[in-house]
Amino acid sequence: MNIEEIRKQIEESQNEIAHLNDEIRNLNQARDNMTEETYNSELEKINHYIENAQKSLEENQRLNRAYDNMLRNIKRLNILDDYAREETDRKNFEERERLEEEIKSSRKVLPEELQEEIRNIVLNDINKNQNSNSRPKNPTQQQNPKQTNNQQKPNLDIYDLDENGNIRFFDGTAIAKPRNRKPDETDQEYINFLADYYDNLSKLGVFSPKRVEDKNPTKENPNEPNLRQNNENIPRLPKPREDDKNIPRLPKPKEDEKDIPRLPKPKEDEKEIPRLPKPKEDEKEIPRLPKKDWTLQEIMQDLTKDLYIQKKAGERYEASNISVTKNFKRELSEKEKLYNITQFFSSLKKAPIATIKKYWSKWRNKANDQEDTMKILKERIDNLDEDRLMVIWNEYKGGQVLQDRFPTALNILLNDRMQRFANEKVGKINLEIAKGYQKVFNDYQVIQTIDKELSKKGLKEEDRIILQAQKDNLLSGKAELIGKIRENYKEGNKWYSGGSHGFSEDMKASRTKMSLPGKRFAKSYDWDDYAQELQSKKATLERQEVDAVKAHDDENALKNFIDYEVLKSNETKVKEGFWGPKAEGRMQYSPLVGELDYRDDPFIRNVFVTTSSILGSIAMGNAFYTHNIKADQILDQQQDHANKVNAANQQTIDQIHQTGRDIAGKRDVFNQGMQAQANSDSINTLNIGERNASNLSVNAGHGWTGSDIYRSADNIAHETAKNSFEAAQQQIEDITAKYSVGDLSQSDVTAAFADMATKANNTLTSTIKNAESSFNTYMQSHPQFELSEVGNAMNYLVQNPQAIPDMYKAMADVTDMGDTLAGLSIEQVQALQSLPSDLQTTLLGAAGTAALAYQCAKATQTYNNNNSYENDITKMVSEYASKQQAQEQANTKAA
Amino acid sequence: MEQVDDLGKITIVKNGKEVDCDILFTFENEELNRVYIGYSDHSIAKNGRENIYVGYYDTMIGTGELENITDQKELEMVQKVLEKIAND
Repeated sequence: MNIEEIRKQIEESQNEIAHLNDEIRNLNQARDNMTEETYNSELEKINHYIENAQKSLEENQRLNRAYDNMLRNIKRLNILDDYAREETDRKNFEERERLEEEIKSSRKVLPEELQEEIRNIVLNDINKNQNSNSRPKNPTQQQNPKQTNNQQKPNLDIYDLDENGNIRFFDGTAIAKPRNRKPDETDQEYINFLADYYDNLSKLGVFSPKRVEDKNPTKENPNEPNLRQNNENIPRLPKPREDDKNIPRLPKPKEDEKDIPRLPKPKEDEKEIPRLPKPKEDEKEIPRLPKKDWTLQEIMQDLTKDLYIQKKAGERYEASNISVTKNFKRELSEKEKLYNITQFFSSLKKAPIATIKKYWSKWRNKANDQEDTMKILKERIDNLDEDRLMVIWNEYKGGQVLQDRFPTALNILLNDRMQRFANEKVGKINLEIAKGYQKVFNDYQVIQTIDKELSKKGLKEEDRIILQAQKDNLLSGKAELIGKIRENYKEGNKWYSGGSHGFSEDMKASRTKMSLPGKRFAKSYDWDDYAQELQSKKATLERQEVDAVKAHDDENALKNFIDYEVLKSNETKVKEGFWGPKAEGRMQYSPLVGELDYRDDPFIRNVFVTTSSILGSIAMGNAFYTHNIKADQILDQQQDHANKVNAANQQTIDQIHQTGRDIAGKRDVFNQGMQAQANSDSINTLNIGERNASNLSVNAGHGWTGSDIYRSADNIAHETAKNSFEAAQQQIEDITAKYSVGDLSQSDVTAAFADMATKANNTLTSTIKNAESSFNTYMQSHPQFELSEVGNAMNYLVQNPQAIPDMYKAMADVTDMGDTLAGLSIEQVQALQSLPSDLQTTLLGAAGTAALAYQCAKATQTYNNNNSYENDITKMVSEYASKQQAQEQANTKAA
Repeated sequence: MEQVDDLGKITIVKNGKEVDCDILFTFENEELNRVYIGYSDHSIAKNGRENIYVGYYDTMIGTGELENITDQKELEMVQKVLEKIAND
């Protein structure tokens, strides 16, 4: 298919639609002469045809647009490339970037044959242009010995010649290759030859960046010696061969744009290509090519090169000449009133006043010479790469800053850049910490449930084994994880404490304005008995945790970690104060390092909770009956709550009803999905069950040698779990990162997670399918082990491969419904919010519909709470602590 | 910091009506060539707090129009000025 065919199809589709519309008109006119049934049937057919034609039309129009855009953009790109190859030419560079992005977008739409067609058009255009320009305009340009009769012929001996005596060129360039080493030439002689060769090329300006004024080489500066004419020792550069000139000159393509014509890169094996000569001092550009061993002073030299920075430049946000009325000053100082500071006042205001006018004459004609300088400096600093940023981060502190006395402007701009740099680093660390907390708290609550079951009298031995195995599995690695959480926190704090004399004295304070929320106006306490007791508890818990982590004692590490976190949470109290939050507790605790990054976005926090709950559900074995029963209960509760909300607010009654019905309508999907999920959970515990079974077998004297079949199943289980988990983790980070920079909307994120979960389950199902026959064989040959449930679970999954994906899709639907709930009043949201307590103690996130509806409700509540101090991790800890307290109180009363 | 009895008034249009506001504080920024003023009609917001509006005059352009502050760093500067007023 080519573009002409597509355009023809567009025309045909348009004609067809017009024709079909005529048909409808005819049908309407003849309606009285036919039965209603016939009329409807005919109308339906025509509409069906119109729909198809419309689809075809839209698709072809889309291709046509993409085709035109891609062609136009590539041509623009080539023009740009002709006139500006330098990356320092910022505007052109940005334009090229934009065009490349648009080309990339078009490529996603266009099939390969159309892209090929565009490439051919571009290549033909380039050939035509170059052929028309190939005749020399000036005899001095005729440097190709084959074409030159009346010129001094170049010495061909210094070039690399092909079998026909033509000079070879470096790929995609007009730079002639030097000859290879002669047999009788020593290494040093050849090196000297190469040095002379490239030195001469350098003098000719071959390696200088191409500038617009260089485009016409005949316009040479008459004040400079014409090296090409006067220096016979300089090798004459022949023009490229015709076939070399056909290579389209496009800017450097991105990795994935392999299909766009581009300059060929030198091959790896072309070792004879020596390095380009070192550019002269005045040719150095910023940013330079990255290198790993930057020194601080080199970086500072590059940043400040050729810039005249005034000593006061950069102090842009320093207020001066403050005047204040005595009354206002008193009110502020004595905190008599609370104020809203509003910077937007939409009403028109026009009131020149004497107070202000006096300043005008002072500044009216003041030139702001430093503005351009600051822009350049900022751009250079913004463009610093990771290597150089790390050098600055590590070295530009304390005495170094005092010693060098760089201008204030440089320090201010560097400070801002380094804060961003640190914030990015801490953002990644916080992500790890948050995931760690989520995992620890989720698993701990499941473990508590398991412990409760284990303590029941009359528990069957096989159930006890499974539950114990489940618990062991949940505990596994917790000491390491907790150690990692603590290490990450220390690491994050290092990033937020940049040194006492370098960047801001406290990066965190500067970045978040007031460091920890409420710290500035925090209530102070005497170091009293309570403080002594608290300190003692903290010291004990921390010591126990550290020792348990060191000893890889998962259970004690987990217990002490939870206890310590709960203690800290309980001692942290933040209230709204005069200027904002005010800390009133004995501690100022936050599990995350700093708090102001994108993960504090209410939506994305809920994404973390939702997703980790889904991941956490994998650990919920033997919960099939619970899933069904509890899911029904929760769905019913939700409907009840929805009904209550309806009564509370008549305005949104229809919306609530519909949402409630929609959610309830997903019941079957959830049930089936959760059944499959439960079965997959069982299979995930296969490995543990097998090991226990193996031990039992050995203990019972049956012997166990470990067959190939067993090992095969064992390996598959391991591989599945590992791959699924790693893939999910990676995708979570990718998705949230995209959301954080605005590439994905909330609905996109939800859909992405549903897609992720679907794919993960497809992988699982596929693996199980492969393992099933081996497992069945093993099961039949080992009747002493009761593995039929696992076999049944496998069979169910294989028979219902879509069950889990469908459930996740339904989850996404429900989240979309949740979006519609975002407009609800806070009272309604709070009513919906009463859902989670059951959820957290029983199913965590496995009951998908309620979990997601809860998260949506929670998000809407957070949106309404502008001064929210807590992040989701603090909430999680605090909720857990409250719940525990309530439980303890209930136990006490019961006792 | 200069403390004065009165900094004058400014007239704004609020809800279609002209309203006189007291100027509470002013300061300048020489680099930005701007004079900032904080003023209030002493109205009380729903949260019980008194409204203070902050805007600036561009002394280079000198149109007499009071402009809205849109730059986060300028807002931070205003915040620092208020803290300075409160604490000095």
